[in-house]
Amino acid sequence: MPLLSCITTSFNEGALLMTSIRSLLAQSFEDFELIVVDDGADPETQAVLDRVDDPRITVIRQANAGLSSARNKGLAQARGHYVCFLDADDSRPPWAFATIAGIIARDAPDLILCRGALSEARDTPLPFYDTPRFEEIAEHCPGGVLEADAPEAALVRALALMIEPQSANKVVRRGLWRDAGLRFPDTHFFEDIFFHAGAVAAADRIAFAQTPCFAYFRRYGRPQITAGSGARRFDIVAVTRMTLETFARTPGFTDPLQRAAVFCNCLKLLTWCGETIGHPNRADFRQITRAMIRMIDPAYLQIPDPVYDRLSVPDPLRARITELAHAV
Amino acid sequence: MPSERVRRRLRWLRDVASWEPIAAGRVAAFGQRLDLPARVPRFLAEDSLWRLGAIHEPALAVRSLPQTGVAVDIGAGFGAFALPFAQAFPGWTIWCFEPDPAFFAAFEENIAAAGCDNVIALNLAVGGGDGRAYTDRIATALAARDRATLAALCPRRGYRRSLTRHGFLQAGHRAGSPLAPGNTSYPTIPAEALAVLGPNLLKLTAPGCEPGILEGLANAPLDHIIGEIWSHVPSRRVYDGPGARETWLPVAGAPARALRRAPAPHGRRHGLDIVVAMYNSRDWIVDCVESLIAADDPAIRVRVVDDGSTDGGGDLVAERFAANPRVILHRKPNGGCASARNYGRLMSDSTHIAFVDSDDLADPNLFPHLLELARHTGAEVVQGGFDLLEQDAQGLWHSRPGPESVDAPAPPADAPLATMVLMAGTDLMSRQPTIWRRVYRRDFLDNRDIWFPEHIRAFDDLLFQLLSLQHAGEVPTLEHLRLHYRQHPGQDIRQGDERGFYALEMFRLALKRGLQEGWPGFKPLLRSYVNTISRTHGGLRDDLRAPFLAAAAELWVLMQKALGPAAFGDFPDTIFATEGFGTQADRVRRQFDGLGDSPAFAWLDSAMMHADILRHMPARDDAPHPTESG
Repeated sequence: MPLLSCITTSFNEGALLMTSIRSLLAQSFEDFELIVVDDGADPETQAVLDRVDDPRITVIRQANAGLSSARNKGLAQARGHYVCFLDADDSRPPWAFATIAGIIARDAPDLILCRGALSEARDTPLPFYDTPRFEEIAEHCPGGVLEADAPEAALVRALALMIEPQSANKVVRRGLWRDAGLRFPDTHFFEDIFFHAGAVAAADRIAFAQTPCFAYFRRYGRPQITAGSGARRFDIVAVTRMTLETFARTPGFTDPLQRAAVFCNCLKLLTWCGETIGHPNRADFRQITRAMIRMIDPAYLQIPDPVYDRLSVPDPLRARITELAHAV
Repeated sequence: MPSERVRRRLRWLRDVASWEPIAAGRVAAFGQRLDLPARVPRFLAEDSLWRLGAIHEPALAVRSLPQTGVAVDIGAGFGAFALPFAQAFPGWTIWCFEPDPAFFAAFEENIAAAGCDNVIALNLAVGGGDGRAYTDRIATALAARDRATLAALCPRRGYRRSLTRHGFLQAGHRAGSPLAPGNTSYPTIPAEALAVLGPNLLKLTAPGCEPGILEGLANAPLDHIIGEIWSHVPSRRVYDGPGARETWLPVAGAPARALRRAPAPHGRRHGLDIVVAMYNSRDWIVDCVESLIAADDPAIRVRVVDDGSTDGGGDLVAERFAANPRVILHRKPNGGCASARNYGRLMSDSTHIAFVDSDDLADPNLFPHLLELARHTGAEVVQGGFDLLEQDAQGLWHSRPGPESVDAPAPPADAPLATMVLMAGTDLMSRQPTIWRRVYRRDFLDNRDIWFPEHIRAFDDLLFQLLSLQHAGEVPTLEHLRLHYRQHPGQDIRQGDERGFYALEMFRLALKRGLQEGWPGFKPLLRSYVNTISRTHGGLRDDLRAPFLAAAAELWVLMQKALGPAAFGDFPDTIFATEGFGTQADRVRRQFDGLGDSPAFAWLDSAMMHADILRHMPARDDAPHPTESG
């Protein structure tokens, strides 16, 4: 069994698919398997896959069923002690797996959360969006590992819940995935927020990799699926609800810090979607957002201000939360 | 009520009127107008012109005939087809055969009037070969247009002209006296001999003789076959022979049936692939596959998809069917029944596809005749009947009629599709999924984007059933041929665990699809929902019933918010027999108080509708979950 399984899903990336594969084959740490789930890819993309020859790669073919279902399928086939994800057109720096393997050897955590890099649309390389959160975490968790009995455990866990819900930033112990039943919400986009909250809530020991271990690309060459402004955006409302109702069943829910963190992270994405969804769909989006807020546990709406302060929630997001709570 | 005597008299008058000679007169077809002055019986004139306008002209209008070619017109009558065709396609040679001397005389008069020199008319019937005719010599005489030799060589055969159904001359299989009423005999050229002409197009009006004629032309490189048919023509005559064989042969008196082959440059193999998803069913797979290939129909192949079996079933299939090129084994890592079915479809290159479970059995003729039915109807979905295979106390398996079983008689062997009935797909939708007794057009499934949802690990055929039947239109059905569905005590459907919640997710997905695709109505979907909820709730484990009911009621209200109240006229909450449903629905309605209806409610998913999430969802003791009852 390899130490790591990396799951990549492939749709119609064509040659861009080599971005991820090349970066993985260039890793200095070599004990990993790469599972590529061909989610109904077009012939051009399949041809790219056919040209890759490495015994560590397994291709699984499925009829197009979306990213969530494809990643779940990859998870079910993974054999590594730890699993991670990488989108077809993203990459990892050559040191990523070595860094991760080092953390595993040292700390044997349930979950590793990694810093990342961002390549902006103008090809500008930058630290990933949530780098300030990682700096906060480093401050409150100097050892780099969150232990259940650490003095600031609740705050650090809340901060972990607030980092970007990116799939490439997580390395999950496979046993945790299995026992906690972690999965991406089938048939939905905005799937990462659900998985992120579930993984952080279920993990006892969380380690933080304060080194960029993935690179996320914003490109004109290929539209990000979540960047569409059509009815697909309604998915965020459903996924928010599913995330909140699932988190409400975990022990962390009773902690206002963690509860607020999950809620804020969902609402941040929801607000962005509501502000960028196409105008023909806006009224419907607002309507089901209100319906959704009425269906969630009311405790999510009753967060005292000092909690927001502690989590450094930006003012516009606080205002949005207040507005939604009153609209109900 | 007219007496029997009066009715007989009326019929006689009508018959007399139908024999009254008239001239067909002005005929317009294939972009031509011409005058056919010869007088023929009224029925023949009307019938021929109807066929020209309703069958022949549309059939040629959808094709691209080249400028030159050879056509054979069997049953040419007075030339209603041949003459306008000859005028429209002057580069073609049209060989015409008409047995009736009176009609033939009218034909010759019309040829002269039209001035067509590319029509060759012969006063002959055409029949299937009987081994007695001197086919080679006849063919030589035909090519030389040697009428005298043809008349001498072609054997006379008996025919019967129907005295009640007008005009139709049928091959007299039971050779009676030519002098008996309606009986007659004509010199008959064997169809094999026509191959010498190298025909590109065949036009048929030869009641009862069609199978023999097409058998005789099995090796002729026909590109076009058109005409009305009165007897069953096996589709292999059209799909297996040389030439493009674009075909339009509607069946007389059966408006839903026409043997057809469209000019489709799709590159798919014409035939049926039966996908058998197999997971640890070593005990059953051999019997299953053998039942599927029992009829030895070369158009049918079986694709066994071994979904990561651990019982050696894959090796067994590989070994047992190694010599049969029509049994193809695919192996893949385990991914569930839906993934195996989809995988088989992705591997398939055929025009038609079916999905059979690895422990079921099929009547040997079920799939061959369903493919036949598909080719005679063009239908998106065709289906057979089914029954249940159950084990008795002694361990023996018996068929028992299923819940919707129909006692259907078998049709005569020479008319295998005669008992076809049409069922509305939207009526079938509300029944239990029986996707395995159907044959689907592959292009239909692809076009409508209908797949098995791979993340759903039980009852995955529910969504497939809903979507395929919603879009299928009328489903031609042959009830007497059956799939035998094996009942096991351990079957998914009997477990009563969280997997029952998959049904909710699939209905939400179907609702979303319906809204996005603009379905004209949602009654079939709602009716199916009502049936499925009652069925599933009844089979659930006790502790799962309350959350299931709460989630089902929530989805019901989401459907109402998404579709609006008009869609729910026939569907009050009380339609659910399950106790407490209305209370749960009211609870959700109160939450939505003051919020208007919107299709977007179909997107408002819940973790409670995802069996795989639900299974791992820890219970909370401090507060009830919003979707829990109470």
